[in-house]
Amino acid sequence: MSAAWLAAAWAGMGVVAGLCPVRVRRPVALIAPLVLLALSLVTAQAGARPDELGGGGLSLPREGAGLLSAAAAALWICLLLAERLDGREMLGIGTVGGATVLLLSTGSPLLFGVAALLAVVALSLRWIDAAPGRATLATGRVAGTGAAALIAAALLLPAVSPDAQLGLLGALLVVGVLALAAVVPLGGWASGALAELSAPEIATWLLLLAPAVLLSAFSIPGKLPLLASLAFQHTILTCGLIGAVWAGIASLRAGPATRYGRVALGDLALVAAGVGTGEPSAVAGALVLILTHLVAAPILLQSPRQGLGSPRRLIWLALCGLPPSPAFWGRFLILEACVAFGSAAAPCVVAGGLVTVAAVVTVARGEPGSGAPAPHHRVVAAWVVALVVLAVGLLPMSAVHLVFGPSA
Amino acid sequence: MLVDRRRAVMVACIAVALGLSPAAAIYGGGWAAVLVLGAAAAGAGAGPLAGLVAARMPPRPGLDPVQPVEAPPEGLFGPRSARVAGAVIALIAASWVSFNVPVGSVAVVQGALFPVAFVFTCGVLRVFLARSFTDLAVGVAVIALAVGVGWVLRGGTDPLPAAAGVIAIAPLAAGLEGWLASRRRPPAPVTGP
Repeated sequence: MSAAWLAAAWAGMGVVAGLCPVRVRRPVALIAPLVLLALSLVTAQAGARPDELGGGGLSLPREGAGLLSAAAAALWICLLLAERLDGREMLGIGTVGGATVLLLSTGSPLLFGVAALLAVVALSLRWIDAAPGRATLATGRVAGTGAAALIAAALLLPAVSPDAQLGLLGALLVVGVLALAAVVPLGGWASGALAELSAPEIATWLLLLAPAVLLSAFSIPGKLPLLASLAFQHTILTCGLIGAVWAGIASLRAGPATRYGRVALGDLALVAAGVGTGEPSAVAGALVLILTHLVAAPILLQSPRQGLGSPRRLIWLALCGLPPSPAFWGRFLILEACVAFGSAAAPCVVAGGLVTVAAVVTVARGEPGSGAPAPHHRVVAAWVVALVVLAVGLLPMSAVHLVFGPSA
Repeated sequence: MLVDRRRAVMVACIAVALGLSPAAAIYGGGWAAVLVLGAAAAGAGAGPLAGLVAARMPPRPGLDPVQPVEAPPEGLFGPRSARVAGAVIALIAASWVSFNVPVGSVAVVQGALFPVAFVFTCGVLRVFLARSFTDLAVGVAVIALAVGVGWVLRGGTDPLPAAAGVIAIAPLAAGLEGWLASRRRPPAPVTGP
């Protein structure tokens, strides 16, 4: 199966599941992610990550297929545990997923930008439909502008002319990556949406689109001319570190309902900083952090309920950043990359420290559950997820190799 | 940049295609112009066609693409001063780009990139200043047409298929907007005692 067919399968299943009659919509929505998970694994091809700026055809690497399949599994758990499942959530998951497949597998800068634009249109349409408001509209406005910047950058490549505006090229790429990954100063839209949307809707961006954009961004500096590469790396490193510190402060101030979202935004910003360093250890750290959130998010994005206190505390411990939690290894590897790149270690440590304090405070205080006690299947799922996230912490690189392939 | 209401995407597609087809014809040949005008025709037809299909489906309350997401209905066609200011900024930005940024084989001194850069910047600003889904659809359609023509200007080997792929987004956006507008019905009025 080719990557193009996989993209069509994601989009097609999303449309079918989202638009089918009401009585079958929910069961179809619960089956579709599992089918997509299997299809993503079948489509995986050996080899390195495709070079988005270097030209070439569609080829889904093992790393991308691992991300897609892990995201499909995480989204399935989100749908399974959702307080209210309408079934139309699958419409957003499928269409954004189809565009994400193209994003991860393309070798053409133009298709990279177009895929980003399609993903943003699908995401913003779904989010505005689910919760009309300023925050969800901002998704289309800010992230759409970012996708347009990526397309504009495609027009300027390959920048071989001596008259080429290399700073402009780097700036366009930075705007695109920062806007899609919601990193400061273009990240306000995601923090607003966190408070308004249900877990499956948020997860479509947090677990699928944003990690795909950041993983793809690791390949960008390598093929740019020196000046454009430097502009890209230094800007994205600075913004990533500022974003991580800002998200750390926000996670301390946020209420229990949005604290996990702020922590996740902080880790995405750290991954963006890792993109700026361009170091191999940053890639490993990014994969560990992404995997940690793929496991933890389906539980922590849900509202706290009675009976879920202990497993949620365990999952929060996995995010606290103290060894041997998986978040510790991810943040430590990115810190190592920042040290290797230059003197950017201090903000990285501060950001990690703030998030650690937020997580430890949450663990110590607990989260008051509201409403009826959680059903048994939800409690069991929370304990299983807690054990998996602990296993990721004990064997981080084995888990990364299992999910993203041996070459990751 | 200023077009609104139900047929906004259709009008934008036609206007942009008419404006950019001479540039496409000069740098990409007759087929490039045909491609751009064909996309405009498809964009003009896609909205009403999707509307006809959607009208046969069961109605449901939901997203009205024309309705501003966060504004009272009477403010729908309110002041467009931000968009006018955006168009002025786009004019300056496009002028700078056309004389300073080389794209493919187009030399900067020719200034040939101006129409593409202007239309593209207008599309981006329309997205950035959007208040409704129709605004987003107009912006995306305009960006798609501008990038398609820009890709033809850029040259390279066989640019038409890639340009056609990008330009196809314009009728897609028009169709999606028309489908949403026709599928949505206002909720049934609540009858009082």
